[in-house]
Amino acid sequence: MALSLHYLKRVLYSCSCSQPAPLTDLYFCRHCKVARCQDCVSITVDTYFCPHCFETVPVSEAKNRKNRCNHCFQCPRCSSTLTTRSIIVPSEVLAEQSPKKTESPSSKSPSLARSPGGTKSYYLSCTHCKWSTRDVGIKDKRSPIDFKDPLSPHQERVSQLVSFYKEFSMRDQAEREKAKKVGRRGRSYGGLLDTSKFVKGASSDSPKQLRRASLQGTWNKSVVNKVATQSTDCPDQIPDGFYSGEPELKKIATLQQRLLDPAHQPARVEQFTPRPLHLIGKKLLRCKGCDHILLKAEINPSSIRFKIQQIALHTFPQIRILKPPSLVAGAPCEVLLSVSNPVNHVVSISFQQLEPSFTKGGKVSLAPVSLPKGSYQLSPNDDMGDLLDDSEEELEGEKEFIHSRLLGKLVLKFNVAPEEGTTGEVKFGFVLSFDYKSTMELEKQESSCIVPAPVVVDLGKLTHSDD
Amino acid sequence: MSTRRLAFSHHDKGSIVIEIGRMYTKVGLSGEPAPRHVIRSRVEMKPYGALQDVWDPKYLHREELYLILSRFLQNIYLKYLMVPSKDYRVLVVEPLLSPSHFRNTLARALFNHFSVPHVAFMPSPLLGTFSLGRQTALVVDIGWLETTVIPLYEGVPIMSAWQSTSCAAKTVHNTVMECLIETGAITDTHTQEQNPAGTLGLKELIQGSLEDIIVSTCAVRSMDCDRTPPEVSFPLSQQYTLCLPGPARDACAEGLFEEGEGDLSLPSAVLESLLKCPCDCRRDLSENVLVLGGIASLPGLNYRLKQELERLAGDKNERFSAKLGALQFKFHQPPAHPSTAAWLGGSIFGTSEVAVLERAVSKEKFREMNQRLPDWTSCDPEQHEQLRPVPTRKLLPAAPSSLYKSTTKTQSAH
Amino acid sequence: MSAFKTPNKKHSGDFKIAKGVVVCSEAELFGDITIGGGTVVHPSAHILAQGGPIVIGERNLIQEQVTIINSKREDGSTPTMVIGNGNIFEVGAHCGSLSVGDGNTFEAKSRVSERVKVTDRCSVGAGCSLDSQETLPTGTVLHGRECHRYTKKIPTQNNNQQQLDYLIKVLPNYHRLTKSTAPASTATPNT
Repeated sequence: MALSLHYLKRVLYSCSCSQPAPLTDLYFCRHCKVARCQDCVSITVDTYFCPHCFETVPVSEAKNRKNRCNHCFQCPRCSSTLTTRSIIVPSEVLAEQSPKKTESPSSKSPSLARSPGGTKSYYLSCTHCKWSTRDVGIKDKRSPIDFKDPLSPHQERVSQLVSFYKEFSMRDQAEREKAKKVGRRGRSYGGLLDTSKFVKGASSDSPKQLRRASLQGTWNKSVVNKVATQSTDCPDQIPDGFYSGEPELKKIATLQQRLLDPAHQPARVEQFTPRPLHLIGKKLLRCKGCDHILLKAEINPSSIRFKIQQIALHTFPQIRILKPPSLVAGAPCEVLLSVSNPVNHVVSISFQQLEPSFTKGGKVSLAPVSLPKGSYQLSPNDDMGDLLDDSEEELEGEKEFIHSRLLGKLVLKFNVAPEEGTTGEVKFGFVLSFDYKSTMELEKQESSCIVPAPVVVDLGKLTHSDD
Repeated sequence: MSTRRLAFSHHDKGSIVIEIGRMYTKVGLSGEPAPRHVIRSRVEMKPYGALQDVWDPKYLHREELYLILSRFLQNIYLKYLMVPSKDYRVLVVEPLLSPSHFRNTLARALFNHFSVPHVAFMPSPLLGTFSLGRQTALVVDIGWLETTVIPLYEGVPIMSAWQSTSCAAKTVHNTVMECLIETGAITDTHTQEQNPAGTLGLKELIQGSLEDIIVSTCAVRSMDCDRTPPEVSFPLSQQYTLCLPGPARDACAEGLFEEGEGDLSLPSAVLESLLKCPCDCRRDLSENVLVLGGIASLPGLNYRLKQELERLAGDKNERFSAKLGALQFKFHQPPAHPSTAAWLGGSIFGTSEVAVLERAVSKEKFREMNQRLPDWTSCDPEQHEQLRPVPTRKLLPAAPSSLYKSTTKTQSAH
Repeated sequence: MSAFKTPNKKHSGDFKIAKGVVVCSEAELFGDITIGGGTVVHPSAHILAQGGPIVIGERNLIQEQVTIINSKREDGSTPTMVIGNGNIFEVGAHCGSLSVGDGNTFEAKSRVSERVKVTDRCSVGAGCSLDSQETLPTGTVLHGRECHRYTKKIPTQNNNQQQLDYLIKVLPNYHRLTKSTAPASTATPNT
């Protein structure tokens, strides 16, 4: 059986969008009663948490913090997580005493700690590459969360541009609304009804100015020019240091290190700053057809369980190749496939030939195969089965095609005849139909239906071909 | 002045601004001074495939592009942006002449797979000028495979003066690679042996580090420079160190200033573009040159470009001197790294909900148009009508400027 | 998994172990070895003075599976391997360097060959392997699979005193120790 694990990816089930995928990658929507692959589900982020301190962050806070953790930081040199180290600075003496390097868990109680000896001050250091905030001259902070991302040097300028363009477009929109209302050739009587001109100081724009503005359709050039940058006659030249000495490559940041901080893109090692760690999101998967949830993880970040887990592995009988057969072109070869029951009740399966349209117009060439006829029943995948007395009920199935039965498994014989001149992998396909019993809570009744599952099995290359 | 209450006056979340460049993708939220993430434009095609380039020419015009883009955007939404795709409109910063299939597939992926409410496509040269607060600029966008030069006058791109050349970042990489193979040497730190770089079969190793080599050690020499920079030892791996000869370091961009066969050099392309502009615009444009693109951050590039432009324009033997000889060239410094300046423009533009929605396609409209975006180059008036409700406007993706009435005049170039 | 070593089997040679040194008898010591005071040698460490004497200084921490080896030379020379004070050899480190200074850290599974000279307060990262003919300047840090290196302006101090104190107190409760050869020199080696 251990060998069969190697061939798991050789058995591909077809999703509702005809995309082949191994069973382990598929989800099953019990409302639509079809398999869904990664591309047939809509994935959104469900909960946010920090990968280092496992703190769950609510959505609004994550947005405010730009999806970054407050307490944990990333080393700008090697991208691993920084540890917070504290030293006690005595309040009386300015010089540092012998540093006590205690690793304080950076998530809990970051408040200012006052010990009898003095106050605690924090700095960040990387255990992997030994970088620390002291290397770039960042002063030790009073609290571990004070190592904030410095603002972009262009922040002010960008804010100025943003507010300018926002106003510009609002005015533009308003003018066009006005023009639409009035029409191209219509006359504007608005001015007559406008009583503001009779009120002192109410409107700063005289009607004459307003008319001029609407004719020009834009603001005064002077307003626009205030925001515009000025070009320079002398663009930057190569710095002198380029020709004088050998560049200290260890002091220059690599491209990857620069791109870690797009706002600053530090060119030199001295400009590095610790970056707040990016959060990770637990995913929520929904079926695209009916919008029901297929996968929902538990909120607790350290838990790997799921609240809702509608995966195909729990529903579809899994087909495995027991061992790769020796394939000879032109001759029928017997292939043993095991079908395992995912549930703890009896499931009946049957096999049908694949439709010709499945071969995508000859793109995927499938070898002809003779499938086991009739329907078969799989014994329940019940852990207690071994312990019970052997009250072996007769399970349905053509004896001719059954190789052996195991707990929850059935090994069947398939006959594949690879065609002459087959190059590449020998593949064959069939449709596995099984009855699916669903218990929907709302309906409170069992409903069963036959679910067809197209399967393509890849047996590998021909072992021997007659030339 | 009456300002009508606009239909969309709820608190605006902003737009997602994304620029899918040939090598790097910049992604972030509007209103911020820099993209939140700059990542390589490639995606791991699970469960089997290797890293797949988004702009891979093999799939660029095929149906597989949909899957590649969906997976790529999925990665961006889930790992980097971590916002629900339904809640944010998207502003895509794209090159002026982007392949239609790519645009359509991107729009399809965004609407069908991610249920984005509105998607707006804006050209990067235009957005570059937003980062300057100007409406007139000569934008030189040096990409990976090609450089495009497009003059923008009062917010309107002068399309007839569009110019393109294949002197771009790839040229620089190729020049450096050739220099290294011919004149570089690799030292094996274990055996202390030194061999010419070409012999050891380590081309791939050098290729992998080439970007870093250029960023860390190279610059663009000025025309009158007679000094040679010292050579550098660049560690390629634990075992091999590359010895980079001095001349290779500052001659890396020489390829940009050489005329190829049937291909213009970078300064020639700029001047050709100016030549095709109306003569009244030329002075304004030449005094407002904006160079975009990652390679523009090489020290000395703008200075050298200015020198070359002035030399070429003033050269009596060349075709430019008669009309462009008297021009002065001045360069702009956008408030961002040159590689993210176009993105910054998108970020600034994206804050205005009104402006973006005006130029955006909604999901319903896209469906009505048979899942095809209208190309601005299309001559089909119906397509344009479907997009814009206002009849007086010409469909040129321009800045919020009401000088459209003068469009026809400026467009008749020559 | 190290095989169970019966005590007293692995020690052979001429040792000079100072007072206050904790050497577990399960460590393998071979050849002419001098160990300075305050050093702790964990079980299953191997200190092999095959090609010449090894002099280890004070307050070093030599953890499990560490190999400090002065290999036999083909030319018959017997150079002395000198290791300074306050170094940390983490689990699985391999050090063949003939000259190691003070305050260095050799992280887990690092390898330093005999051609390398290590000065003071360097840090060889976990898994890093150094095989070139060179002298590491003071404060060099190596890290990562590619052995990226840089030099820290202010090298971090190696403060393992707390750990050494604890080990000296606790190890004798759990391991048999090799007795110190007290009258022998407790000389600190030249660094």
